[in-house]
Amino acid sequence: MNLQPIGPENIDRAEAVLCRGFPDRPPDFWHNALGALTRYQSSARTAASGSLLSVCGTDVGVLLAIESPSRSRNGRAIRKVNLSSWYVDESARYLAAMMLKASIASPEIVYTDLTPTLAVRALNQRLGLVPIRIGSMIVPLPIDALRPDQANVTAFAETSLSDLDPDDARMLHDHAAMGLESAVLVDGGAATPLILMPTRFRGLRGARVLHAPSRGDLRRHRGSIARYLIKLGFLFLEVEAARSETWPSSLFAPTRAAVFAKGPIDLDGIDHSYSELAFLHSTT
Amino acid sequence: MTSRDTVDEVDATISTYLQERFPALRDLTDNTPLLSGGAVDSLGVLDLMMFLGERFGIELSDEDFDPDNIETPARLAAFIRRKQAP
Repeated sequence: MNLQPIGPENIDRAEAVLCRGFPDRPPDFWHNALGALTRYQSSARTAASGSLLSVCGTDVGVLLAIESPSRSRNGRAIRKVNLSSWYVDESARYLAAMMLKASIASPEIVYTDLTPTLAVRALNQRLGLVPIRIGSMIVPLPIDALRPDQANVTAFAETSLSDLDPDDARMLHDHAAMGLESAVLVDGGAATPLILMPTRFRGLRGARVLHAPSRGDLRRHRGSIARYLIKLGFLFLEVEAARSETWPSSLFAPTRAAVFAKGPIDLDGIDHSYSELAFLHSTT
Repeated sequence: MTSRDTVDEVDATISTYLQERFPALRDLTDNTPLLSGGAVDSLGVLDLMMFLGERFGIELSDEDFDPDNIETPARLAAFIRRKQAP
């Protein structure tokens, strides 16, 4: 078994394995996704965007892993790696767990899996990736929009950069470029970045939170957030949550989200910036 | 036990572990296919290799996870003996 970082010399081979493993995706999907990941990796100077698995010189598997910088609540720098799509040919399926284990070896990195299938969840848990939240809270916005709130939410494009931390500004810019809703919550003198991903529930348009430093802030300022999102045509807010965490007047959707993680993750915040949800959403 | 394991001890240790860990291998022989027969899945391979590493005090590298080393109990035993060789 040989696990090589994905780089310019083998990116075409990684794409071939991904196309083989996910034949339902449109022809250009993995080409575009790998291109976007490579550009990001180059500009952010992060580690390789995953690994290519080969046995006796034959490519048999691939794992996309997206590294990004993050910060804890106290401002400490954290490295996080989102385990994205992976596939191993049937003939080498016995190496799948080894590939994953080798890819989550550093104790200093927060590893996440945001789209595990039911079968992979068991594997994740054996490898130390534990369920952080299973399920989503669906918050209807028309009711929340009537709530009083002094904060203000504005689109990133309409926010003065001087109000924002430079790292936050770069993150919001990058995600807006990927077609996500990048916004800023201003409460008093504090500017908090928000990233939301367009989604649907029962045919209605909504927005799932991909980045919010504090779930408490989301709840406290749900009135302002609702008014902002309704103006953009969204009818609900989706927040990954356990059933016990749901807000009054929200619905619990047990199968819409599953977040598994290993490492020192911040349980109050939500940070799926630069994850597969951002990159693969934009290539769909 | 490390490099002084006898051939019989290596064979017996591997056989006992496989039969206890994988119910489908109750009728194990030296040449029972472990991977192609589906008896040992991906997590099973992980457990197996961790067990072998710890039990025989050998250090495993990525290259060791080759089907030629794992496909049958006999090949596993031969692999262990190669790793233990001075």
